[in-house]
Amino acid sequence: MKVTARIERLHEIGMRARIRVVAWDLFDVREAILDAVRENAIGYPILYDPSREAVESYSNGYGARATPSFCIIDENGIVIESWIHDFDRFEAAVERLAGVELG
Amino acid sequence: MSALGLPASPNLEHLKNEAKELLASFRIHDAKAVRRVEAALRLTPFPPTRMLRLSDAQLVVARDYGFASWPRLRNHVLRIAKSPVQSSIGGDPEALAVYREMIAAFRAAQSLSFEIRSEHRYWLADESVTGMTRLWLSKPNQLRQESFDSSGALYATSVVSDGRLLGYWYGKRPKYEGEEEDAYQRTCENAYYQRDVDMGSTYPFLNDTAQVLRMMPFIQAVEPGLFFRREPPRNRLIVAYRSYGTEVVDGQICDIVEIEMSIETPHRSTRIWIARSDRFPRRAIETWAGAMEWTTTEEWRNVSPIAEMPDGTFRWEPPDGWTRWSLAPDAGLIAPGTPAPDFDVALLDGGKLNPAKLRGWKVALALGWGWVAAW
Repeated sequence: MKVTARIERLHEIGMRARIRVVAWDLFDVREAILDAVRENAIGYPILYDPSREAVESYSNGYGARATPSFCIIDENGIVIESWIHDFDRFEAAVERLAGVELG
Repeated sequence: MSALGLPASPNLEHLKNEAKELLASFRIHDAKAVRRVEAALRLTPFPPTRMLRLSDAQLVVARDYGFASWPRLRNHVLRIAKSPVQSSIGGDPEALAVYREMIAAFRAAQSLSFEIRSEHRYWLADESVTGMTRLWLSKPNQLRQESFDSSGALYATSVVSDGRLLGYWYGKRPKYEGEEEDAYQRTCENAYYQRDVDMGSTYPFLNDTAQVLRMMPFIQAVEPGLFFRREPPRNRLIVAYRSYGTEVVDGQICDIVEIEMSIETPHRSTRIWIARSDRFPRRAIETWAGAMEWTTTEEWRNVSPIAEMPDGTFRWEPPDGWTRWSLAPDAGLIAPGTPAPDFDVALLDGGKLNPAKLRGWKVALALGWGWVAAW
């Protein structure tokens, strides 16, 4: 399943459990938009702010460089966990937080 | 996606009002509204303990018009509203034919080599970057790319063969954000990068790994991945084709074609000089007008659609003593237990998102490079 569809599913799961699933295509905003429009997959928030300041502040804060980066933040704005590369882990984290039975 | 029952020129405000009226009717237990909600949400009866929200009513409206979600309906309507030719492709049929001939030429070639000299200009920052990329492509899945900086020095090469990408730098590799200086100094020389690639189905290496690793100057206006039969994502967004006559570029008579793409806020057009002799590009100028305006100008030279590939073009093995390098797994990542850094950015749907709006919610944040499209 394409990641766009997987994120959309996670977004729907999250909305039922007060989890906001947010995806941001950090650098190549152009292709993110293209794909999102093409797939009609803007059922979840995709951030769009290609200004250099936004890129710098984001990348410095969250570790997103040229590598997919993931972060889980709790209700009080405290980072619970962060990692890179592993989208499967992201999917599992949202499902776990939402209490979805895996399997 | 279907849009059954939606007017030819739908109005977003009307649809919003329809959702609000539905919500109001539902809340006074209007039988027709209740049945509509129950049917669309597949909740019969609607749970008495659950409050219907405006977002639920919008979802009902969206589903009634054949859309899976309100954002999809909204974006469909916005796209139609922005498009000067509604949802159909318009413009000059001859320009469309020439553009299609260019795509066909890429796909028909068994081997191809060329150079792209390019300038990428950010207008708001009044900055420009120049560079040159030399490419050799061979079907089904072989590629060699050499990247030169603005001074003409070769600084990186990448080779794709048998589903494996090997990339390496001449001299020091680039330093990445979040990378500790000590770690960089230890690994910046005699380093190579390796990953598996599938030229036919994944996000093209040319716009992904090559840029991630700074192995190329920037995004191509005309994507060489067309050679590997990749469907250009922009094709779905083209709203008009135009002809701008002919011009001689690099000794070739070229038909000038402009494709205009319409997406929500930004606007993009690409003008391509397509040679009559072989239907490959000789020049392309892409303009992106949005929150960040830039122009990419490409000059294609030494285009050879019957290129002979010298032995070893697609082979490279790391010399003894070289190190396979990848980003450290935790370099620059925010540590658990610390407050999430502030941010305030725009959403594609026009809204804003910042931490203040997310207090009380858990947030699962995924950031990346092109990965929304890539995976």
